[in-house]
Amino acid sequence: MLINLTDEQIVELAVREDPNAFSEIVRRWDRKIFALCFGMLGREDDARDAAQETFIAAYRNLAGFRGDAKVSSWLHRIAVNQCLTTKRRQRSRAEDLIDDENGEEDRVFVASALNSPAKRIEKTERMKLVRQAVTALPSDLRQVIVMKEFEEMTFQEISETLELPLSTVKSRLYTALKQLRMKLERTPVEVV
Amino acid sequence: MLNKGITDSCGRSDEILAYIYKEIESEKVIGFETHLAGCESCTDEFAAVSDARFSVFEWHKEEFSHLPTPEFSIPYVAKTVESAGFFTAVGEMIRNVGWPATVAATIAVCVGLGFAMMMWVNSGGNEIARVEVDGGSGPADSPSPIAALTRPSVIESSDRPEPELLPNLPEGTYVPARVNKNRKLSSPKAPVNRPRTNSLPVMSRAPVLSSYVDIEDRSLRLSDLLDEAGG
Repeated sequence: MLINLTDEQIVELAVREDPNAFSEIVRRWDRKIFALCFGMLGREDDARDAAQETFIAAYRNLAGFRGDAKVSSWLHRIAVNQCLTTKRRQRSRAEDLIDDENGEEDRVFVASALNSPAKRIEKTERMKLVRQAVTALPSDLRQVIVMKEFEEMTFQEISETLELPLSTVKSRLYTALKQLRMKLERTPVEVV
Repeated sequence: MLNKGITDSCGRSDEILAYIYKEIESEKVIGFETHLAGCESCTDEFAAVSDARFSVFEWHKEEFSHLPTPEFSIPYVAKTVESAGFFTAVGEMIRNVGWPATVAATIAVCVGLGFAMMMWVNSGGNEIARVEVDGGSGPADSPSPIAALTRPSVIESSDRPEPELLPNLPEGTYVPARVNKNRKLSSPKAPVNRPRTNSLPVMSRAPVLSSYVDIEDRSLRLSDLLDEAGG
């Protein structure tokens, strides 16, 4: 039933009638929020903690969600703020995690969702799609992706290796990631 | 769209990419984070790029990270150079090449050496040797054209270069006498009679450095070094 609803409708439902409907929002967005946190923090452990805190904060502030905004943008903003908080905490070397009485329960909920059999199957399917999408990229874009992600080269190193301007390298990588995302969005992972 | 720069609503896609890959300048980090927290467009863009990047990262991690890096072993043959003797080396060469080829090569070398010796003898090598050994007596006095060409020139003290052969030097220039090492003295104790026929002025004082022209060969010789070391 919830699958057919939009994000905004689910949030409205969670606010008014069924707080458990929020679990569908988590299921839909957990990976993307984790990816955003990973992009900001650069470490999987930190990103996982930040993603968890993001959903906790969103759940607590469901009443504050404005209907004129998209749920995705709302979650993104919460995630960015959460990551910035984490980074500030890391900078000041105060690495204490927020530990309230519901934290452990929420942590178990998110972790179990990430490691569920359905998630593993979804992950396998997604890997297949990513492989196809990367393979389908033009060779000049795929080359930059491989050098950046697989060889872990810097932009400057790629620029010198390919004898291309730095701006061209960044442009190609950005274009490659955008095209990759478009391909992945067009073919969503279907898990029975 | 390729190579035309990165464009988005805020024009900060360059910083988004640099921030995700941790290559943003440190002085720009705080400013970018402040902007990101307040810009919905950039936040959504950041999330989209992060999602795509994480997909590739995850793919790499799942399918490639566990694979061990292959070890390439190239069977280089280390040549051990042993200080074998000459005859050992010759024997090794004969074993490698074979006896017939070795005999043929030896005959060819001997024939070549003999031919070269014959050519050298016929070209007057004896004459030159005789002239150098005999000095001023014997066949050197005979009017042989080869001997005339190859005979070492003996210049007496009176054979000093004529003044007109010297370059035009300014007056007062000190010109040392040319030392001829091949000069033959009739008697070691005989006084050297050096008539002052040279028209050059006799220097009564130390030469001026600015007008000094050294035409004597004073290049360093190994014999000089050995003499100094011995003395």
